[in-house]
Amino acid sequence: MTPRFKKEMPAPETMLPLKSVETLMMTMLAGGERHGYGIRQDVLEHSGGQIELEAGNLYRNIRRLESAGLIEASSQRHDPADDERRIYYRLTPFGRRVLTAEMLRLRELVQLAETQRIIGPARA
Amino acid sequence: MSRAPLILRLLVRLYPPEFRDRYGESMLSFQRQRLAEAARSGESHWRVWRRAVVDLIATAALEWTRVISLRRNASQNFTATPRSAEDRMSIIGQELVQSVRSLRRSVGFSLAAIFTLALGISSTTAIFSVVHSVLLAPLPFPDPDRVVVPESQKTSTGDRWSITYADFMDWRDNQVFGQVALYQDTQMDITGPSDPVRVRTAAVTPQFFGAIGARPAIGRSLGATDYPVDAPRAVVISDRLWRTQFGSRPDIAGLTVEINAVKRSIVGVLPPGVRWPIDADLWVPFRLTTEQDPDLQRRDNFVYSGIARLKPGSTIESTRATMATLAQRIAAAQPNIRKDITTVPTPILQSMLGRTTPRALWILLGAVGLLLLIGCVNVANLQLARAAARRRELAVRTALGASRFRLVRQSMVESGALGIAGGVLGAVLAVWMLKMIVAVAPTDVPRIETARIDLVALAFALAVSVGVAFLFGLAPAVHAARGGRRQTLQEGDARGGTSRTATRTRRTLVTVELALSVVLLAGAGLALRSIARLRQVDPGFDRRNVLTASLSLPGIRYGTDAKATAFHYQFRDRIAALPGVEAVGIASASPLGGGGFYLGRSMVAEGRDVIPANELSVNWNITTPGYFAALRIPILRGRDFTSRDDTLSPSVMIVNETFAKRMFGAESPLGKRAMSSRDEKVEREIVGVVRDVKYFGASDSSRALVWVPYAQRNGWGQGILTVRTRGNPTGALAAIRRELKAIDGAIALANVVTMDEAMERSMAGDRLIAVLLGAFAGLALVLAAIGIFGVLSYAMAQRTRELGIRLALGAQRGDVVRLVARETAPMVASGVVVGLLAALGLTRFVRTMLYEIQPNDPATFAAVGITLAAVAVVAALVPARRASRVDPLIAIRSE
Repeated sequence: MTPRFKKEMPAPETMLPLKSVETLMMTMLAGGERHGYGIRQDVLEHSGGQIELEAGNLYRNIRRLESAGLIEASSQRHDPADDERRIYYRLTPFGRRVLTAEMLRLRELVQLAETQRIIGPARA
Repeated sequence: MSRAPLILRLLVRLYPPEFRDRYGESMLSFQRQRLAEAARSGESHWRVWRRAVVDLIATAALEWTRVISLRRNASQNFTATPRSAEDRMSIIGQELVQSVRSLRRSVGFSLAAIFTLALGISSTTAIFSVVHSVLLAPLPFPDPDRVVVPESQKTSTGDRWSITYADFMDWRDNQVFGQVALYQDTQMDITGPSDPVRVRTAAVTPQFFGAIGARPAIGRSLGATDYPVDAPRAVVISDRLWRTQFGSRPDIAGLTVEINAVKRSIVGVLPPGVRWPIDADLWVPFRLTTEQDPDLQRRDNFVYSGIARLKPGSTIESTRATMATLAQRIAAAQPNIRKDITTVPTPILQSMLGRTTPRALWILLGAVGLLLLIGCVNVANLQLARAAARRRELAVRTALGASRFRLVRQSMVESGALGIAGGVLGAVLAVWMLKMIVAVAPTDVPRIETARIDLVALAFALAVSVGVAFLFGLAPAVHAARGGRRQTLQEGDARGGTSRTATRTRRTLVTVELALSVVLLAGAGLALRSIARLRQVDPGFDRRNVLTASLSLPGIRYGTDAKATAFHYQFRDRIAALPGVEAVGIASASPLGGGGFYLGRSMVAEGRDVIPANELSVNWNITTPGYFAALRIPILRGRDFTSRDDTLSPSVMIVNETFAKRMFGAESPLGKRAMSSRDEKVEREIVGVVRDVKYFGASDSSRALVWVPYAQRNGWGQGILTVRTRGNPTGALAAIRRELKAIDGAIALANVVTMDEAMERSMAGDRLIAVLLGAFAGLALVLAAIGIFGVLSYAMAQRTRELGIRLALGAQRGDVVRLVARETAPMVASGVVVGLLAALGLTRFVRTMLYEIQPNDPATFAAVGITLAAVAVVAALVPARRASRVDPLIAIRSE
């Protein structure tokens, strides 16, 4: 990676709330670098087959997250499985802070729902 | 590394350049992997492609909106900055604003053109695909154009109907055809492991399979050994039945099943798609003890359907002549029953489709043809308008030394891209439209379920519309390249870049477009009014809360009048006792085309001579007591049948008003007698007169109807159960099935339908035509609006300078709007007038499709004219308001 000049990042809270598909994609990237198709497969798997991203939609979201500085392209490399050259993405430190803030926000929401008896508390 | 399919690469080109450069390759790699994975996991290819195309087009559009709105903000920022003298002089700045504006406009126009192309292509392709599969595709028989349906025909009116056994024997014995067969269409219940199912069955004479040319896929068809009355009973089944009822088991030939309570063995399965009569699933031998039976010898017993294959060497014309000669001999021998009746061979496809379906489809095809034409005009218009806006640009570029080739090439690329985008979108839409049409089409349109996108039609529609886009996109560039540049530059100075000819061409195009829209709107308006009339028709009974279902008793156990009657009366009584049932009856046929059987009979009043002049044609129905109460058909005089109307009591019947009026005029028919003069020959006393009902659907005319009780020697083995309930009628279904099972577990309740549904079904065809015509007309209206909007927007944009001067010299905003009105009014007026005249000429082709509406209905035509004018005003208003807000200073400087 070539060194980049530091941008002034806004406070993570100003980015909230994230769209649910953005949250999902970022959560997948929190587990490590992925290429585009890998993100799709992870999201598909973790949403129980409910969220099926196609190329346009996926890269549109990547474009959005990338231009907001939440994720970045890490490297280009060969996938050992086949001969494709792929771009891998990862969370930026700022992206990780935003994701954490979003998760905390969601937790508060869930706790609120529990105190209001909309849902029962999760069992440990 | 394999390359991604061409279509995906083209779709990726739809994205804004920045996005494409950054993610294009990754997206293609994504798609390759997606396709590879789908092939492994067994996901349908069609699904992957559909999702990919929709996704790419949709997100490309979203990305463009973003890019455009970013640029718009940028340009607003630019104009919002305080202007210094230097800024004002800055040509570069002006150019920047201009180019951003032009691009923004041009994106709008590109989208309009793509949308227009897609609509024209998709609707034409979808409708033509239906036309092709229903009207044009050959039937799945060998040499289908040599297969004919022999029919009886009334010489004077051309009406056609079925044939007699005696005529069939003549044709067979005189070898009029290569093969000729009779069949009777019926229904039988197959009892398997689950509940019995009712299937359409044909009882066929020996040459049947030879006539249609069907060879079984498994086993054998029916042979001579299957016909003797003491031979083991054999049946042939359809591929569909083999798959659905027998799980495609390979050992099907020789399997014994119970059909209408008789054990029969399956000897063969026909190939997929081979079904004649349409939708038959079962073929059984038509077995006779003797052909000397007087009923078979009669020349007026027109109850059989025929099918035949022309003799090798003879044509349909020569066969027609032979049949006519034979028919003349019969007419001469038995003039009292066969005078004016001949027999004709009808090509099988024509006989299958009838008259209304082909006409409706051709009308729809005409409508989409118009839509395609409107679409082409619109695209031509948009291209011309766009070219006009760029004339100066082209001229300047030529003047600065751009090569002709380069200018033309650029236009080609642009038009080609438009065409491809429109074509892809059109193809996707066509698939979707076709699916929709097939889903909502009435079930009695033969072969519609086989409709697939017709590639020839798609190619044709694509070629026409993309060709137009190309042609009109290219012409201005060629013109500029040919050296019109000096003229153009000068023109530009004087008039703001629009030549008179171009303007005139565009206005003519808009006029044509409006006229075509009027024609479509008028057709749709008439169809919609007709369907509205149909909906208001009083069918003669109360159709709410009525459930009907058909019953068919196996002849082996209910072979006598007494047994069948006992079943119907017992079943009726049990249903009547159910909670929630208000009234119930069983009749041989149900109104509104609800199914069942009736007989066409001739009746003569008592005391009159039995001669044709005294005969009245009636529909002869059988019923139990309670039927009229179940449908709430008012009994105007006399009484309903009771269970005491049986073989021991006087023979009775109930007639409708039309019967009473036609047979007895103003006299009261009650207590009078009449008999079925050729068949039953029993004088029946009229004990009741009921109101007329619509027998064959809402648009039916009045018919003479007669009902006789099952219990008086008319114990038919089938009937339509008709139940009126207090609440939702389908709620009673479970209880009805329970009662049926309690009496006889081997009888199926088929065609369960509420009367409301029967009414809807009887109008399904008319409704579909009205909806499709309405949709096409709506689209035409949108396209016409786009056309007007486009032309006026450009006219105004080109005259910004002139308008600026006028405003600077003291013209009011209102004057500008009036100016626009003056520009628009002649276009709209001439378009509407020409369109109305054309519509008056064309709508007579839909006359037969209309119910109680004249094809020149003034109200419809007025409404069409007003609608179109209103749309035109709205479409003109936007450019007019924009023009009136021109800032004179900027306008004058803008050149």
